[in-house]
Amino acid sequence: MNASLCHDIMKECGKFARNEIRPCALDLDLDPDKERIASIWHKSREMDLPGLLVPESFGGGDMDGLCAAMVLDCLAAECAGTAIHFAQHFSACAALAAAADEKKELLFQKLADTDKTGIMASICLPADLSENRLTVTEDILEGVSPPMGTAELAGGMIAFAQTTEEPPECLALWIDQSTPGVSTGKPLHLPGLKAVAFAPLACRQVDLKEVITLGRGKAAEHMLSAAHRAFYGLVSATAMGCARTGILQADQYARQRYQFGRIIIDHPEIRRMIGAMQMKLTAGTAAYLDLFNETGIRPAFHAPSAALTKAFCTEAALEIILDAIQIHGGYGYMHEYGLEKRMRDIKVLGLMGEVNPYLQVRHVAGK
Amino acid sequence: MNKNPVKYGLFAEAPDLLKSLPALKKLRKRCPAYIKQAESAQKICRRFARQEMLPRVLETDEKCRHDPAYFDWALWKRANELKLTIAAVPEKMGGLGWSALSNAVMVEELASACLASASNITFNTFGLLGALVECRTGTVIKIIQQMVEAQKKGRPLFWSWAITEPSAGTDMEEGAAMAAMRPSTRAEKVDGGYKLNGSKCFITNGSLAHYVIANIPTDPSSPRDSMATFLIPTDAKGFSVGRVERKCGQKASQTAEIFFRDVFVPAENMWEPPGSGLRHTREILSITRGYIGVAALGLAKGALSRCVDYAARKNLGGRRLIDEAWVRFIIADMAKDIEVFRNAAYNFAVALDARHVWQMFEVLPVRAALKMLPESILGSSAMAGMARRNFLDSAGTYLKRRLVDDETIEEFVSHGSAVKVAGTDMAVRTASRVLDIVGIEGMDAAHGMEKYFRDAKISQIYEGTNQANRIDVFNHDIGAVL
Repeated sequence: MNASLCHDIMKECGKFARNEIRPCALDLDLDPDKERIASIWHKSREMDLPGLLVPESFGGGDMDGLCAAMVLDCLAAECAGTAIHFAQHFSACAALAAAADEKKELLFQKLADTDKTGIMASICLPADLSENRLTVTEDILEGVSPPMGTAELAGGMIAFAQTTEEPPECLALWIDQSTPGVSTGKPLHLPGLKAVAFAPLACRQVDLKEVITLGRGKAAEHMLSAAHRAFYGLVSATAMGCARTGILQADQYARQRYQFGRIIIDHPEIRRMIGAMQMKLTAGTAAYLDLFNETGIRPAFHAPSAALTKAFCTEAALEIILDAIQIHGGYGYMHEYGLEKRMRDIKVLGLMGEVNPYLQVRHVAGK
Repeated sequence: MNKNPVKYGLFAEAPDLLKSLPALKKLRKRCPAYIKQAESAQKICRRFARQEMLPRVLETDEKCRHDPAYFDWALWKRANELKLTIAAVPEKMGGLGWSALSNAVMVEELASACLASASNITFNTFGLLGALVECRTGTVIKIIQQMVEAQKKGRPLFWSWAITEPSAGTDMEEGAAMAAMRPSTRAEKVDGGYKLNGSKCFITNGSLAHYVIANIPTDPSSPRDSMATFLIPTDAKGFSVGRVERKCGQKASQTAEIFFRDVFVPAENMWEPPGSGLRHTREILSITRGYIGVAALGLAKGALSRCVDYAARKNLGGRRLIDEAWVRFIIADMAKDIEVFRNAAYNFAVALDARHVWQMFEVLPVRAALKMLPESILGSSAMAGMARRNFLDSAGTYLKRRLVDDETIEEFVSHGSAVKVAGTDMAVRTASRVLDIVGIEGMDAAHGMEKYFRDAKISQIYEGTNQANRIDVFNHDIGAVL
């Protein structure tokens, strides 16, 4: 990764987040206006953000997962919900990067934004703990997927289906939102990440000819693995970004709030709490940075797991934000302080993909 | 698939009080009526929670999300018809005469369906609780009569306990902190009474209250030594309500700012004189903190009940979510936390009956009066007038101070704080872990579990942050012996 370029990107993203996302984050929480979110997305094109992971040969930024994760950390510092649109998009790009070259060519063209027509992509991951799944029988795609983010805004998505024959085979598909027989199901009413519409993808009698098959069998599994790694890693970075601002807010508040005869930062227990929050943030940030560390320089016994990183980061972020609210007292529970929104957002982040306890079980089981 | 929920927790057959608290069986042998009343309270309240609250609390929560000032009057009226709003008032005077134990049962059961709606129903007792601190016979009888009359007419009579100020939260609840606080309110002595100025914030039911019980210093430069307690009718000139807060959860229960601008209250509305306000607060906290713990217990029970039901129905293609071993271990762990905490919480409730202000209803003169005097006299204005006479009026105060002295109050503050911290921490943990089981599909608002998570967090903050509560636990139990 080009460190200096990445540094510049972070700087621009920080500015973008403060100018474009911060002013509407709380409004979007109350009224998740699709148009407004779409306008943030379009605005992000001015700095070529959607093309961050698209290879240079297609006019993209050619950056790696580490840079994408740091960008998400930056965006989530203002609004995790808005950041998740980019996480879904970047995860789709990461999955696509693992596809065969001819498939990449077909699709990166769609996602590249050289002429400002690039679409928002999303990723639709299978889930063991959902009864919903997409299946393919005799080249007909059927079923309902587990809920996915950005279901309504994305122009298309990479979805994973299984054939019904024995043994089942994994298929990686690109599905345009406008494909006949494809629709989004009823959106979930979740407590957090309100800026994102979570809904299942519904496929009814979709002819495989209408979609692009990106890979089958091992090739599809390879793409699924890349998608999981990117998705969980980016969710981790989003959680850390969201928690980071929570710590800043708690620290600032503690330096102003007078209680028990002094500002509360002077109380050892508040210092301990903020210290513990910083400790968790440092560990979580290190965990997601390590996940995307492409150098391969790490102890032999240490092979980072994206799933466990997501479990750790979302749990650490929740603990951080619960304490940030606690330091604020009643003010932390009120909407305009934005902390309670962070708590709700982070709780949803923790449940994205598979739930954390199940990821721990599955990791050790070696699935 | 069976449409009936899994019969666990909130959905179990009531009463199951003695099943969940087997130690009470011993008590039942000695005080059968006491336990029978609690079992009856559980049956009534669980039915109310399931039949009246559950069908509407999610819709109310959603309405309040759009309009924080929305209030579900229909639910409140139904609770009022059952006298749940005046449960603590002696039966002979028109209430249900429920003990602290029975009231705890009510709080647990109602909070298991919705913590906010439970607050709307049970916080009516603040008027009575506040009056019982000083325990002037005339004042207590007058307030009871007002509460009963309003209940009979189906009219709300809301009392708010206004402690928090914009610049002082926990400072209002602890001695050293109060001495150093920067008050936002001030009471000035004027002819015939006091003139009040300033503001309070985060006041539960502040927007609906007919009376506010507020601690306000007469000398802001010396808040602890001048803190006094006032009863303020909200129709008094100069009293106003600010916005109703937009909160994370507990949406059905309104939280508001209130303002005093040259509000005049007569001298008789000063319930505690300057310097005694902190004691008034501590005594109320000695009861309410423990009940917040009980409410948190209810919340955790409700969240786990819904989770068990959801996991038992959730089909993962040939197997149920609840068949997963990791799910069973987490559920067992939560059930363990709830069971262990329930024993601690009800120990507190029984202790309130045995050693706190509930004893007042058991002492001979009060018992004799309640037994011998007909209801018509107990509820008459002549009775209230007679009770305001000097001897009778101060007899209540004397008797109560003998029964509940300052040391007892501090003991209960510490005990109640421990119960509150343990219960609310457990509730937040449980509400969060429940979602870790049911995942994003189960988190959909329609399943009712995410609401518990949003509701739970405030329980660690109100009635003193859990940090302030820990200070009380340390100071009383350990600091005192160092």
